[in-house]
Amino acid sequence: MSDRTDGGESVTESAKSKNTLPLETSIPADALPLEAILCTEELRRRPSRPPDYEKENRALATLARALAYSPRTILQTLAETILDITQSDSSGVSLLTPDGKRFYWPALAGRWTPHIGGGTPRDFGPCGDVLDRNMPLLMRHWELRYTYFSPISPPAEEGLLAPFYVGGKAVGTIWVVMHDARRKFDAEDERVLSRLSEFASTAYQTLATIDELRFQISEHQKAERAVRVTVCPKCGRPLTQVGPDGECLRCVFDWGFTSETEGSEDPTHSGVEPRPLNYGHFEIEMDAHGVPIALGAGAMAVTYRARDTILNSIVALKVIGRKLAENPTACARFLREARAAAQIQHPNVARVIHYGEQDGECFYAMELVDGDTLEERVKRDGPLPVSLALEVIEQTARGLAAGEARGVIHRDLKPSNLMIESDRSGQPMVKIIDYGVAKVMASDATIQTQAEFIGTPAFASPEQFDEAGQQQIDTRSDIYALGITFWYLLTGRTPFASRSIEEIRTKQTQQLPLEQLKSVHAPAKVAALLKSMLAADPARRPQTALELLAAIHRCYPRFESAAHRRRKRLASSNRRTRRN
Amino acid sequence: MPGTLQEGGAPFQTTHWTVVLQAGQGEADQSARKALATFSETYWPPFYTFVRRRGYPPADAQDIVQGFFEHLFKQNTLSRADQEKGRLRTFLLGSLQNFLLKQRERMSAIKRGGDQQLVSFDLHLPETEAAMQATAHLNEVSCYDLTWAATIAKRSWQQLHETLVAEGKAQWLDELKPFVAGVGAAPPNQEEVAARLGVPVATLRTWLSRLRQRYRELLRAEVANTVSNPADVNGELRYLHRILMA
Repeated sequence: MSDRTDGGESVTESAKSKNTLPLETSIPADALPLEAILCTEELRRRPSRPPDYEKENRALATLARALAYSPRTILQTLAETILDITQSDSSGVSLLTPDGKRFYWPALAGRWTPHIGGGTPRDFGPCGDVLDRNMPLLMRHWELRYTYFSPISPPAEEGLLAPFYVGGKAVGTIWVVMHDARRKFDAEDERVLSRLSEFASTAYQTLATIDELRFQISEHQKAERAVRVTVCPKCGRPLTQVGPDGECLRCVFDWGFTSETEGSEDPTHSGVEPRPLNYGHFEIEMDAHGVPIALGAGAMAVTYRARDTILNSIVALKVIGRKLAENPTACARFLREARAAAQIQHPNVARVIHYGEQDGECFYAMELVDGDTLEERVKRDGPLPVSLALEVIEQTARGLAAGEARGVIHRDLKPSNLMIESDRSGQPMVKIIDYGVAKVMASDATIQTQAEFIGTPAFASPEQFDEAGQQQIDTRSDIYALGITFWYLLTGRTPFASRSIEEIRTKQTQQLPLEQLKSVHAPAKVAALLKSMLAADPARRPQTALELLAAIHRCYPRFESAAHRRRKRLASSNRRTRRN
Repeated sequence: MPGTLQEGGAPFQTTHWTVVLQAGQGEADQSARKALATFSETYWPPFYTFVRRRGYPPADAQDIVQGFFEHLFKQNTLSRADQEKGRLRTFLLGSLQNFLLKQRERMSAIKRGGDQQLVSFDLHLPETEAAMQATAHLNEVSCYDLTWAATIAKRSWQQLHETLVAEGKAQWLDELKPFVAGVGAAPPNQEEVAARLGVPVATLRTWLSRLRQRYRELLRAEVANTVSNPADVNGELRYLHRILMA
């Protein structure tokens, strides 16, 4: 009995062992009727011993102790107590499996203990008949009715069974067996059996209820654990679906999905906060998704479309990267250059109208040009006709001349820094943007490295590559860059297309690929102008913007008259303005 | 310093539907098998989760999923899929349910530990089990759909990651990732991250917008791989989103 008293099993699971001798039965067609083996009526007629209340109370006290100290073994204690109080040979408790199809023995005591195990079908044994009749039954030699595969050992002489109730429902039996005829059960045995069964069933029911409660608690705990799994700090949902680095896949999907549809349930999901972004009194304009509208971006700065909240006008706002802005020297130089650029009042230069610093960032506002950059124009429409390209170069040279008069050079002239729009009469109007910015950047040694060449290598002059800084950078550098730009406008490409700065430097000293110009039918004078602008030696280029202008005019006589007409138009326009 | 993000695209040459259909044709060859293996490598979790939720222990569930993919490949049962095909997710769930109905007889044909296994479960099995345990309140079909949606999200996210790493932008992605998904203690502050990266806040927002655009394209491409009619992409995306956000 020692294996039955460990107290660790649940009540409903404590009878899974004991497979020594299966008592599988089957009732043959000619089996004896139940009445043939029943002797319950005789039990009532037998002389009964007097009740032994003292013993009965001791038995109840034993069961009560078992309930208090070892509740899991209450059924086993019951079987042993009954065995003792009835002085029988074997005793036990049979319970139906949850599906109601079989009986199993959660508790056995006495001589049968080592010999029986497993279980019996619900309808092929004495227990089933007890449940059917729902009353105590006394049977004699029941093997005559239930044909067992192997003889019962030791054989049973008489068995007394009483229903075992849980929650008012008979779910099993409690029984005692005599293996010989030395003693016959009497009415007192039936009474004691029923009494102890009643007590035990109440205890068992309590235990079963506790078990059920515990099961429910554990299920709740499981569910709670599932709910209590780490919660995504962003979306607040259980972090159950995670990516390779623990990312919340719900957030990831939502982020990718909601931008497609009308709004997200939480705009912060996008990582883009919808609040306005202000620099000074300029407010950056946002698109429908709360993303700033960028007009252009370089390595160190981004230009946004912004609104001047005082004048209620639209401007281009250039915000300089913090890496540059954090350097006080660079910042001071930037301010100086911005001031100088602001002095350039010329129709071909986009005017700087404000400079500011905020939270460690520098920015300046400039006139917004409503047009394309020449890079965009060429990429979209292909190379420009020679006359238009000359017009662009001529107007740019005028802008450069204005800067030159103020002692300011551009240092990063290229098609993406030239905007083209139409004036009121539909004539093309060129605007140079980003005046002076490159010089500030280039002056800061900490940010100029081979990898972060300031300016644009494909448009830079040979002297801009001079690492020793021996050569002075002046207007002639801008003239060189304008020459490359001119080349690009005519052919759609730069003359020294290369993958590395070194390669560009080498090619700059070699013969110009003039065949590229022939393929676009550039006149000889234009080719000659380009050769002079692209001379590797600055001394062999036009020395000033005004000299360049004269050279441009010389190479294209008809241009001279067109320029004359434009100048005349501008002059009369200015006169009207003054009169007004 | 990252430059302009290039247009992204799905690396699959064929759709997942094509893979499954080819596998189900009689003339399936080695390349079809390889394609199915690649598909199953990514998409086994929903099937595994479904089978587990049907009460099968882990080892049996692995055998069944393995057997299911083998069944897709070996049996010429998918020809009718041509007429019935719509959403791969629902089609495969139906196929798996049918397979499970007959799995008793088929289990005998499934050999555990064979040398021609289509699916390798070793990778990601623990998190798949954990995800399944954590969604005990869902029924098996909801669990399947949820895992399918998460697999789509995960695969697109991995593709984005791989592309950016190839472009040398891994560190950049690491900085932006916390804005997308809850990996940290709390959503980061845009100003702080912009300061750390040395760019204006507006630039950071623009980067996030571009990253999002790129992920969106990959997500759409992945979903498009699982529907036969391109017009169903939006509907499927909406459904998967609803499942994930439920």
